[in-house]
Amino acid sequence: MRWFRKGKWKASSSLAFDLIEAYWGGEHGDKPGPGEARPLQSSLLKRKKLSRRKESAIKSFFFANSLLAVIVLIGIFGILLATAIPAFREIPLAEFAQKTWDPTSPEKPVYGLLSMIVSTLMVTVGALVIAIPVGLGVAAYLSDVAHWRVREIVKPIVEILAGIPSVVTGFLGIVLFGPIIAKLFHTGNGLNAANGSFLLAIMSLPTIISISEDSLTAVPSAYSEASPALGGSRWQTLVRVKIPAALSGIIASIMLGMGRAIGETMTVLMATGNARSFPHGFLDSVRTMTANIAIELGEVPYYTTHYYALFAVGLILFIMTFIVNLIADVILNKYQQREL
Amino acid sequence: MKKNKKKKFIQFIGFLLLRVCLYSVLAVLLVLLYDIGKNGGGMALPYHLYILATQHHAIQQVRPLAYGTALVLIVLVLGMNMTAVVIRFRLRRKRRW
Repeated sequence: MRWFRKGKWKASSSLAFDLIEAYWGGEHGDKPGPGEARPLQSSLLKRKKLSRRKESAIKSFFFANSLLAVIVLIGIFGILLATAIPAFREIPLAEFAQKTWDPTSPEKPVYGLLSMIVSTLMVTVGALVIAIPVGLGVAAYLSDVAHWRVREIVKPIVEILAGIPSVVTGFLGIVLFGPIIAKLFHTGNGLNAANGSFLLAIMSLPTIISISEDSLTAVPSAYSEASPALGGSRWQTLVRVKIPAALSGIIASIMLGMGRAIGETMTVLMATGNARSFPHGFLDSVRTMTANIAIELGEVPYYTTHYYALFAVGLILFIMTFIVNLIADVILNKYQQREL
Repeated sequence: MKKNKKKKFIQFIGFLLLRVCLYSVLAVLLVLLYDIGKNGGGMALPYHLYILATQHHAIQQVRPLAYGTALVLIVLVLGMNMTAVVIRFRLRRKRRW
């Protein structure tokens, strides 16, 4: 039962895998113990052959699992592409750059994406403007200032914040932030881009805090101790040494938070008001690309231009998030190669 | 030596039992899902909250229900998260490899 004591199997094994291991005896079966009689040479060889076959079977099983993730990604992209291409064939590209999105117009349907793209970017940028200072502050506090006991309590709470369902966050926007914004700025109801930005900031905070804190903690002590040794204050150490050293991790965390904010559907669907007009400020009601797909895909007749156009919107959104995630990945890779 | 082996065996059995419990809970959930499917589908809690909060025709009157739904949802999520935190804390304290 030696395999059981090994921590690395225990963390990530399935029941089936356990049973296979228990049945074959794992690596324990290969070598006789000190007190046991040595088995005959032929049976030993047989066992070795079996265990090698078992090894390769397990290997291919895990390989198939990892392949599945890739296949799912390619499949999603393929379906999205296949359904979006008819839209690009039927609608001229210049029309996508218009501001009006009115696919159900009886005279002439218009498929302009500009206002939706601008809304998406506006809500996302608003969320980042709120979330980056707060997130960096919390991360710096947790990694540098806080007592370890405070950190042990606050970090799980921040991680729990990431688990709050988006529909609950959106509900919070309707019942809490909406009335506050309406009262402060004298708008009719508080469902607008500012509200959505607030909520998305709350939702992307855990990602930013968690990863930034990790990268700030991972700054080698050669840097963070040399600075006070040369007479730098704690503030100077943090701002001039630790944050530049951890910058790639921090940027990657911001990118990941941004990816979450762009792709979020339920919260913006509930809290931003969903007007189709072009937004002129944060107090305007906006409809993001995700919300538009969620609203219209349930009611659109299948295999019409409108249906394909919605998939085109999805494709553009996918490309946007893909680029953001790619940048985050590249930066993170660079960060790991430098081996801080 | 013998005692140690016995202890390990008990640990192993306990671990297996835990696994079996988890999988049986999963099986019960699957049966429940099948039941719901046979009765023409249920409504997931988040969707219920969405409908109550935005699509209902008497939003102000069902607001208390919406609050209640949100509370149930949050308690569910918090409960699961708390379990995870407790398990992680215990494992971390028990074993240092």
